[in-house]
Amino acid sequence: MPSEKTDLLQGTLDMLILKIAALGPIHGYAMSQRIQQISRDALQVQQGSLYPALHRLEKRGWLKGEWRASESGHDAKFYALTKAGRKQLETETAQWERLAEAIGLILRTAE
Amino acid sequence: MFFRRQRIDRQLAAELEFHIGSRTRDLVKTGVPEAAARRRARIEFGGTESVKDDCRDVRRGHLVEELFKDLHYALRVFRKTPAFSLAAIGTLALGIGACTATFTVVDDVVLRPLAYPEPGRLVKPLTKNPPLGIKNGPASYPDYLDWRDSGVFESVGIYLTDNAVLATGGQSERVVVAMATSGVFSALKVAPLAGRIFTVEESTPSLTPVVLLTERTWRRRFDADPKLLGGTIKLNGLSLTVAGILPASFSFEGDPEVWTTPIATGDEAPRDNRYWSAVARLRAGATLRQTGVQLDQICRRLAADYPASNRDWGVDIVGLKDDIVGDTRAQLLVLMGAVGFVWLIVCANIATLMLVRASGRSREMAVRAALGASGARLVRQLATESLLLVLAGGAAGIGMALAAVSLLREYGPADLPRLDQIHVDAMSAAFTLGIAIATGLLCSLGPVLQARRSHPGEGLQEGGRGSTGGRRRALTRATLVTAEVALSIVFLTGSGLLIKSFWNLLREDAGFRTDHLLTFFLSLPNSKVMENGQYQKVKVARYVEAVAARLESIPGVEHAGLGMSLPLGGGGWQIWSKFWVAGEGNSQAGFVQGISQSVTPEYFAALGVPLRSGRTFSDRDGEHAPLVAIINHEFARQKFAHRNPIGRRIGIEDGKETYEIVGVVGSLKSGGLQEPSPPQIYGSMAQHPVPMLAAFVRTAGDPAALGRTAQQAILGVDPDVPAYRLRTGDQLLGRSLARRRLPMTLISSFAAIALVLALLGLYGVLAYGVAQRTREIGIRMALGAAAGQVLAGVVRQGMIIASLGAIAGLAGALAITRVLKDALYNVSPLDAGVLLVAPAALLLVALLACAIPARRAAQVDPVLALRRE
Repeated sequence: MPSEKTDLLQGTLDMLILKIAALGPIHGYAMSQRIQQISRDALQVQQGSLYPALHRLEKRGWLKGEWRASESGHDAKFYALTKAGRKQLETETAQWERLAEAIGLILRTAE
Repeated sequence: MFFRRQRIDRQLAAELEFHIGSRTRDLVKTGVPEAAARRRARIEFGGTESVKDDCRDVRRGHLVEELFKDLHYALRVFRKTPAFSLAAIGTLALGIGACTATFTVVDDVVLRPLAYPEPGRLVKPLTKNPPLGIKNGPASYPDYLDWRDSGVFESVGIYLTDNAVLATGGQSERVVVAMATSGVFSALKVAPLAGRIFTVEESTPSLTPVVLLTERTWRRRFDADPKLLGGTIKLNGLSLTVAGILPASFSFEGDPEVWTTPIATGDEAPRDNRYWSAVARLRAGATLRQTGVQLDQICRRLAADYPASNRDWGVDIVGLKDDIVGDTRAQLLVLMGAVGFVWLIVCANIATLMLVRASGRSREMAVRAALGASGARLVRQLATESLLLVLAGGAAGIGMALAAVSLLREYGPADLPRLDQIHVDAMSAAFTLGIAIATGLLCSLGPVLQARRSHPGEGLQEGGRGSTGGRRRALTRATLVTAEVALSIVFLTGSGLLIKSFWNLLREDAGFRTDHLLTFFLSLPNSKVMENGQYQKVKVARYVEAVAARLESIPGVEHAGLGMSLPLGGGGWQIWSKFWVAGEGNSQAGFVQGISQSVTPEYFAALGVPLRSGRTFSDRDGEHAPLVAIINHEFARQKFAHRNPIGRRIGIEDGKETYEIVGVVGSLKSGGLQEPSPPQIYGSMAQHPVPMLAAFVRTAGDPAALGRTAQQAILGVDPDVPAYRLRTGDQLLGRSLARRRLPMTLISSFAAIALVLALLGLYGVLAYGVAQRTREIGIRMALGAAAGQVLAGVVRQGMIIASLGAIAGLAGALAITRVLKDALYNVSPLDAGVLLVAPAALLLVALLACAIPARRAAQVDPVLALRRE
């Protein structure tokens, strides 16, 4: 199968998006700014990969897109977390924590 | 769907525009001028179009659209690698074409049931006389009546196919006519399209026969005139009442256009006048065996009641289908097997091609996978490519099949049953399509599995460094090619055996000169030769004389003679009789079985039969002269061995008259070239004139060009007796060879296809190996390997594959060529020459296939090869 690395990255981005959307409906631009802010610029998410990810999550039913006016007055597409999305987020967060813990353990042991 | 897509596209554009707009506004807020801000926002975002593409990609998942994308991509790949695509499509076209054409023929000739209800119950009673060596013989009218009245069959009828002059409008034409009793139609269960079928009463031979027309004849020759029913047509000058029209679906051997009830000739009564063919329907539930036993009882009773005519005569019954298909069935099944082999080779070749290409593309696949294409996506892409190739190959293949079938219809052997009915139909096309798709899936399986297995990192590395990796794959490819070579050896051996047989056959002496010879038939109708129940011998003799004279007077004609039958099984009257030599006692042991016929003096010169000793007939041997005979060399060999037969006297059967042997002529092949010449006895036509004649005209120039003139000349003698079935001697020979030529040509073409494919496969694997190993070869050469060593290495690799294939193929050939035994002539299936030459020839051409990649390897420049990456 093609690289687990890309899958991992993709999964991470998906989780980030879901996490941010959990705070309330948000459009793509704000999302990209928020990711940068939260990760303190450590994660440079290419806009190029953000939008396909948004659309993918929407298609899977984890996000729901809705057009309405933004704070600047322009029409924007807002993404809100769905019930299924919330569930997915919980699973992924749990998984991620387990993985992070495991990696941390390995790293500590190896020291 | 299209509107939905438009809406999605619009929204996508608006969404991205909002992003860039927002970024621009943010930048402007920080003091960047509007224009510069917008430019920077755009640059930051990257290519909006590719992002849109990616979004559509994740959204869509619509199979159809994805399929279009795959197709588009596949087409682009094909365009980029035209050599591969053409090779693959060509290979498939050859395979599918050969398969479809053969399947069509086999289906139409063998597999398709006869177009009559419950065809399984239709049989043909065929007479036999083991002591006389007669098999599959005709029946006599009285014997038929006994069969019919015994109730052995549900119904039985007899028929006789002939031809007669049909007058339509102002024209007269010779058409195929069948004379039949009502039993034929009740056995076949044919209902008339209009009017009625013959009644049992009408089926008794009479001088007022009624006729049935086929629907086609009624339409084509009489414009489907409804008034024809109950009206009359003119056949051989007789006005006959039309009783009914046969349906369009009705077809019968020889395709008679007109059917008549039996016409009385006065020779129906004797039981040894066997000239009727019979067809019957078994009683419901009766088996061939039961019916055969019952029929045997009847035959034994007849033999006891009429020993003179019926002793030793029995009847075999065979299924109608078996009778029609006859010995072509075995041939066709061999063909079918051969096609299966070709098909295997095609599959192996396509699989090899695909594997080779897939390996070449492993880097591309790895890159795509690394860029995020899912495994399923790659598999689908590869499958689409394979299927597209296969469909293109299939379309080309069906085209080839259509061409092949129409060629076969045109030039195929005329004695192949139901040749005119052969056509590529939906069934064959569906068969092909099924096979094509199966192949596509089968052949794409390898690359797909490889794609699934491959790990992007590995793929990128292998492509990048070009080492000897992928050993297992190389082994798979080599195995496939070895199998191809083996299969093509089997073919080469088979075709070698057939070609050698054909060659042996061609060297057989037919016993006459086939060049510059025109032949045709003439037959005097009974109305011309019978008067008051008396055979008009003198009248017939005079007619024959006039015909011979008229033909010889044509400019360009060297000799014109008449006999009773055509050599090489070309038809006519072959009468087998028992002969005895006067003074040796006419005991059973002294008999010689042979064919007798009456011939005119010029017969031997016209046909080109050499005189061995004595003389041929002349005008002296007339009606009142002493009875004379000429025998052939075979007769002399059997009966007179080392003694001189000239002057001896021979008698026929129980006859008291004896004939003086005045000459010995060369032996003529009366049947096929592969059959030995039987003893033959010629009588003088003037002493025994016959109304059924075969004419032979030896010409100075092209015999076919003289056809019209000869026909006119014949009509000049008697306008009611046209010449028919005009053929040249070479056509006669061609027809006789056709049955053997067809399988030989087909198997040889298959062998050629197999050979080319195997060589392509070998070449492909070696060339690919060399391309993959360029770097390795470069290193070796840099380390001091000589060009010759490198060359030898590649050639060795190729020859190992070829040799292994040859050995396996030879083993296969030994096992399989036995099925060809019946098709061979004077060649053993284990003919050492052929078994040696076929692999030797293959290895020789295999060497050529190795040479190009080997040369390329030897020419590798170490510096360039190492620097290449």
